[in-house]
Amino acid sequence: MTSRSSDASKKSSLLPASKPTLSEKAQFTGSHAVNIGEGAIIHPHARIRAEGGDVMIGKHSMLYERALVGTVDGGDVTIGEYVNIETGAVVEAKSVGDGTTVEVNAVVGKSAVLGRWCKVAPLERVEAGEVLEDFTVVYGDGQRRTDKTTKEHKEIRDLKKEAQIKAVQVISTMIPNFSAKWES
Amino acid sequence: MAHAFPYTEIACPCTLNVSAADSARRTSVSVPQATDDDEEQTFNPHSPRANFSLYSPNDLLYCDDCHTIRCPRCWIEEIQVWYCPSCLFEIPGSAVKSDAEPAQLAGPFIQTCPYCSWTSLDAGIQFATSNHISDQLLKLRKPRSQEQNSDEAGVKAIVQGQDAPPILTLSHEAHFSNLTSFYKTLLNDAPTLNPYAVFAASPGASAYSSPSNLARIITMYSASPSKNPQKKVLPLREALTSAEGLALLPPPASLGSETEIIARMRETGYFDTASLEQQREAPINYEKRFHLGKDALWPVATLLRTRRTRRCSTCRHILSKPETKQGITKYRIKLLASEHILRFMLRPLNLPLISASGLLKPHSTILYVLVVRNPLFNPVKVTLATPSTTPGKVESRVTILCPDFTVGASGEGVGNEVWDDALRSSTSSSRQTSSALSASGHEGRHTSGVGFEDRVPEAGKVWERGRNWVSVVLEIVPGSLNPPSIPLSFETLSIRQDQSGTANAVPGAMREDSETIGEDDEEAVLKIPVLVRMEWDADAGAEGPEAGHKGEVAKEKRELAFWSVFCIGRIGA
Repeated sequence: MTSRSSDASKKSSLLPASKPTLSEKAQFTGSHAVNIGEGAIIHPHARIRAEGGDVMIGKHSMLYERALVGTVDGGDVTIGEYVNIETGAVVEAKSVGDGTTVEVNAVVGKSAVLGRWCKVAPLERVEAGEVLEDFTVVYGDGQRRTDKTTKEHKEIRDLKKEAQIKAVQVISTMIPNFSAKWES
Repeated sequence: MAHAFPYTEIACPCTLNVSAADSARRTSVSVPQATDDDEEQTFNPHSPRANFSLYSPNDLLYCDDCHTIRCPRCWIEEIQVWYCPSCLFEIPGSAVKSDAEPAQLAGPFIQTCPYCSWTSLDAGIQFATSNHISDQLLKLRKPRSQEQNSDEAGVKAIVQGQDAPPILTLSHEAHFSNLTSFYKTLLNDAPTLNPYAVFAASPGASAYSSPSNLARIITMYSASPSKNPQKKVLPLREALTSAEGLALLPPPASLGSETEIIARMRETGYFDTASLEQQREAPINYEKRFHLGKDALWPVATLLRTRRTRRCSTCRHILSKPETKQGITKYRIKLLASEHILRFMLRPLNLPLISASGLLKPHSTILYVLVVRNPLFNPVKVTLATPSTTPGKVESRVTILCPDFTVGASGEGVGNEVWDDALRSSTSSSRQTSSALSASGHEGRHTSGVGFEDRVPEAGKVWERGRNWVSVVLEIVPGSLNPPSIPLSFETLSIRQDQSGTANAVPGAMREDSETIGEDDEEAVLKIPVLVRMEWDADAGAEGPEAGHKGEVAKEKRELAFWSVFCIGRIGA
């Protein structure tokens, strides 16, 4: 159940723009640039592979344990804001839109383009070069559908963003931040 | 049937009463006499009714108060615990009905699927509070179903006029209420026609509750058949119009024509159509075709699972009681029938006699060894009786070489048995050891087979004997699937007589009137009905009056008789 209550304390609950939280045990490889937005969280053992091109991760996005973002030879990877790349997921996409979730052990192939507010369900695959429109849900062994609720209700999108900010806040207190180690 | 041949099944004695009543209706013999006759009648495992009375011995329970076998038809179930099938959370009985859950936040709520992101907003459903979801759904549903049934009154008018077949626009709820009212009126009228309908009409309530019922039963059993002439029993009729609850297929699409649906599918895509499983989940969704929109699938509450206590329906004695704690699948009490009645095991005496295809050859004698095991702590006198030719279309001849014998008492446990056998083998010949092994289900078949090549089964003599088991030999001559014309014409003649004589002929016989029996036919399975009668002296310490015994002197003497069916195999063409 999702609460759709309009939260009065919405603005006060927002922290001022903060640094991203990078775990000490996150792995960064490659010689290309890695940009990580404010409030983003890179969990321990998450891997960012900037060998084939730049990797850009937007604000308030999360990269979970053993998730892999980036390519060896496929070019740049751009992850939008409020994105969740769950445990063990592999994302080699060209771009991932805002608010999208790639669930546990899902695979997004090279130079695929994921729209905004998409969802790739656990263990699902998005093939290389595929383009997913906004609000697409990939589920049930390759089925696609449009998430009508999120598409038609702006308040639900706002709620999801708010929930993501809260989640990021909580988790940032739990992961020791070693962003200084990686800063250039 | 998923069993591998050969296997045994047991007919619960409770079903014999039903079949007696049923056949009394068919034959035009007066009621009290018919019931007497039917106790002697041979159980026919091929009759359509047999499916409902035959059970695997492991599925049956035993009431040690009534000293009889109990089947799902003669035990009562009581719900002990409700729990959620996904999270195994145990729900207290009071909460099941009230749907109680502490109120949480204010504001509108929606239901959302965490996997595919479907939300109840897709079906236009939004909740005011986070608890009492089922109630809220019901309230939301009412205006919609009324909307659908706006022209229901018009439909009824047409039906009363008997002009045209009614156009079906009724919702599921309207259909259901029509059908229930139809059956209620039918059952109210029925008892005057059918003396047995009183039992069918109120399965929950006692048949003797109302004075009119009681009076009818008394007249039924009073010994004055002349005063109570046999009425022709009419079967209950089914609904004929939509006002009576008839629903026609294909179901009327609430959207309109099929083309409209196709156009919508083109627009929304295949994956937004509801699957058959989703439609069949609940009657509300039978006609729903889509996930989205005003007529989308309606959310259905997860059905809770239950753990049930089983009680004997006559004496309320508990037959099985599961453990109340979640995650434990053990039973606290379970009175298995297989621990109270004889266990049977069949195996062919000579393996090569069965053809490679696994089918039995007609007209060639095969010998089977029937091992009878006694689980009781007292020696049991066993009498086996079988008709010389099996009932059904295919007439096979069966002879039990030794139908009367006594089986010794079971020991304290398996360990003892092993010791017994080991000790005996040191003193007696090695043949007995191998036979004991084969009887207890070990891979002793080949060794025993070699040992018995020279032995010939004799009539009236037990084949082998162990401490608590006895094996006897069955001589079986499978009948031919397509016998020569004489028996067939005889059969058809008898059926015609039956039809002219009474209103109801046997449905199975009607269907297979003139056709031959194929190998895949149910009739091609060789099933031997055997009446098993066991007599034993129960322990003196056993309490309670013995219901089944006949002798006045033997206070501890017990007797149990039941039909068992040995399914040997399929007969080849």
